[in-house]
Amino acid sequence: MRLRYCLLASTIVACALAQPAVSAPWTRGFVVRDYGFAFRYGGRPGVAETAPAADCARGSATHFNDEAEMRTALSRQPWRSSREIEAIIAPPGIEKARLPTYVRFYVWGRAVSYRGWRKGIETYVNPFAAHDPGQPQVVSRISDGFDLDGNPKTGGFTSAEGVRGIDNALYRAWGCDAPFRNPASGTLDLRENTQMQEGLYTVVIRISGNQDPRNDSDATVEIGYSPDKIVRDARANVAPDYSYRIVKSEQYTRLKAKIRNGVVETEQVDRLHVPRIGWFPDQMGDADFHKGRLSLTIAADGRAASGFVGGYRKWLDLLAENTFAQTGAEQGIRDHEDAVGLYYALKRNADGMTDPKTGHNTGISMAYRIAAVPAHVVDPAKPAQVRRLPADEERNKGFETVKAAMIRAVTTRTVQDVPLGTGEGQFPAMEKTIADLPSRDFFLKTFDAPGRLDDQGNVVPLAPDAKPDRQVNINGPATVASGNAR
Amino acid sequence: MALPRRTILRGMFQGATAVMAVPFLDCFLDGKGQALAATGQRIPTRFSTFFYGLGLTTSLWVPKKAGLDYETTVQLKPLEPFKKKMNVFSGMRVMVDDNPNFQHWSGNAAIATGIAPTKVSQFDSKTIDQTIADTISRGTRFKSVAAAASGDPKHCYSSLGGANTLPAEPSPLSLYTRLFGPGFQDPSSGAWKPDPQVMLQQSVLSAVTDERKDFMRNLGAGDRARMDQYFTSVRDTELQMAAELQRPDVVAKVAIPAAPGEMPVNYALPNVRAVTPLMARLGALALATDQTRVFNLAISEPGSNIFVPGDPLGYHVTTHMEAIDPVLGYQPHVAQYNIYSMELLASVLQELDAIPEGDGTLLDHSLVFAYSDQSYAKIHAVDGIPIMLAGGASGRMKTGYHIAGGGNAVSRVGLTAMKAMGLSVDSWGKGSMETRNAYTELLA
Repeated sequence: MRLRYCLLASTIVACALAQPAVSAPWTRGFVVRDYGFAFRYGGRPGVAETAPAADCARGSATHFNDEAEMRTALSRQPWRSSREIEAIIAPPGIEKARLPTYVRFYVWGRAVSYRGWRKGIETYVNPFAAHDPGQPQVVSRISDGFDLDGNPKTGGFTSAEGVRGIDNALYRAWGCDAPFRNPASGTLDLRENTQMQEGLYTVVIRISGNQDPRNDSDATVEIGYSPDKIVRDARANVAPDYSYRIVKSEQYTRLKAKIRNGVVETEQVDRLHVPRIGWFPDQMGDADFHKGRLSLTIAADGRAASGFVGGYRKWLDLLAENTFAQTGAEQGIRDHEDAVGLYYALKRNADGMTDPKTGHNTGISMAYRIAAVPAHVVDPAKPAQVRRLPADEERNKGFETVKAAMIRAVTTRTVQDVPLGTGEGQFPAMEKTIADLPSRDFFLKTFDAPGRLDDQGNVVPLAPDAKPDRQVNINGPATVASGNAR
Repeated sequence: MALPRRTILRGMFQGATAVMAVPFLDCFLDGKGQALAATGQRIPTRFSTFFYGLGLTTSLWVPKKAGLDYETTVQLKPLEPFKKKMNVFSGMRVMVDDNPNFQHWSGNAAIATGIAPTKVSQFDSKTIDQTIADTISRGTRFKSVAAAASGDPKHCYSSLGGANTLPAEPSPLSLYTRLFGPGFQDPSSGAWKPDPQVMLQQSVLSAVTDERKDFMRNLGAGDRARMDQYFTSVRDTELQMAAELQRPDVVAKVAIPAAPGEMPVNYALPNVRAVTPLMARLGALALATDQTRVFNLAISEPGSNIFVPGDPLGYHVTTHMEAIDPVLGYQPHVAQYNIYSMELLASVLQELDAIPEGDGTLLDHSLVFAYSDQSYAKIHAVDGIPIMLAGGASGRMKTGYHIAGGGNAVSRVGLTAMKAMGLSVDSWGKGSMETRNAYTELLA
């Protein structure tokens, strides 16, 4: 009899251990501390972002890196004279200018802003009208991200865990771009995270369910902006366990998820809205993934989470968000990116969101990496929205205007003017900077510009006869960069 | 023989008249050599700021060891002669709270005010030099003086708050003219007399003063506050004039040289190297002759445009464009520019330390607050922003330390500086940077 009781008791205990301890509602929150393109760096830690490595066999892109690179870039325009090129490389009398380094910066900037097949076409608004300068592509076969199309034979990448068919074409197209290569030293990768942690924006994630936080077959994941700035501790790390409100703005998404052993996998949804990365206020907004999903691995003690959110995004949106963060030329001269090279690389690698009318892929597979620390993510007690300064609104209007011009140009293949007041084309920054340059008149006469300055220094549009012809058709062969080629 | 304390020597220096105050003789001082025997007044403690752009290379600037006897790092090497006379602060943080990190501005403004700026190119309060000047500059001809070594009068980060900064003298000649040109009377001169124009202006202000009470009585609260502010500034002007009507004490052994000639003043490093010590020398003379007790020197704007001739990028652009050297692990050209900044600071300290005064030098009776706008300029970071305090503040500041800030607010350094300058202040800064926690271990 006693034996029967003992066996019964053991069975009850064993059953209890096999089931979730208690099926009760639970919630876990996180605030994102690291957010960026899921570009898997192939070099050793501590090695510069420019060095060759397993991801980029010839190192990072080096657009406009030095005088030789500039000569190469400018020589692609048949209409540019060698005299003009030499004057751009070393502006005559530059040593007499008060700000010689800025003179060169803006002269170079204006020059690279006009690389169309003929004069008068601003390149960053009309990238289709310039020849492809090439862009080094990732050659590694290992990538982070998702198998978005459920086909292990497409995508061309394998994850570090051995999952085949990873779709991350953005990595292939853009992963050798110097400012995003190597999260430890890539300028813009560092910058976006520094700015986020210093309060530019906050991304929060809330996971909830009714079973067990480590194993729940019916969990919910929410992701979106918080209007509350990230709190950092005395060592400048993102402090855990602070409270953040989550706002249900356009960039908010609620997803169903399953959790197995702490790994959260959401459903794949047609539209997944999350905040996009950025380092200036005008870059804030919706990432808008198609066929999007999210995956997070929660540490056993719940004190950290890391993973990815990804899907297909419109590649023209990605190009605009990066190119017009400031101006195309500033991204080029300062960060050694060429938005024209990226335009062609994105176009070549686009692999989703096929336009039924044209048959062209308007989307590209990609992912953002996420690392997060625990936080209390709560609903706002009263309506709240992400804070934006009035000055940011103006800047955002400028961004949207120039982005719209670029998309109109590319989709209609009709040259568009640079919207005045946006700063694009380094106008009127160049005119103001070279005011004391002895060769100023040469550049003012030779260079194209989005507008002109009147006698009082006011920006005025160009006269109609100074504008280029409207229709452009450049279907000539592009420089197709693949593998190691550049 | 009884010597008047203000006896001067006159002579010719390079064809121009030069005057020299007599050495500050021991007989003028008390037994400790720190105060005037006759009046018991201490030798005044002066305050200077030194602003330079674009921060540091952490791996080359920050000493590994904290406290005394820290190792001299590559980028602190130029300051080694002054190691025992200064404190180095690493790992300090600018906490921007609910404000953006304005590139090249937030760091500068936060260190100068203890407040993260809410607007770009504006200070949210009076800067530290002006707060200190309110206390220590009474009785001097100029409340403060500023100079810009790369030639732009806008390169001054001294402000009463808001967008306005006090204009800097953009050349050694203009600085000389302001300090020692028209209106300057050698305080040691027997012919010294109050300026009649100043006397006239003062009498006008006094007349206004007599009607203040009647006027104020008829105003509402808002207007009264405005008028209070106005009368405060009038009072400051009166004090300034009163100072100009009194002969200042001259306590140092200095010679006022002839006016410097015209010279190129711009961003070219060789010119900045020529101008900076010259401006520092003139500033030091102004401090030594008690023309002012606060001197601000900026070698550039935040986001420095200083360049080495032949370098097509210059300092600022290089911080963004230069890749990290794969072997060295840092940006080599940027690192060299960082060193140039430290060399220029050393040249300023050299000028202050070259003037004997009482039991030490002018530097010993000064506190120099040196700071920058960024830490890692490549990404506009403000964590780990460098600050240095040089000089003994007349014995109130212990020196020779490396303070590893460990993420502490930059306002702790400002509060420490103000306490060393003798200000009665309990807390400083605002928001996350409000602090009552000075580095008391540095205060004597």
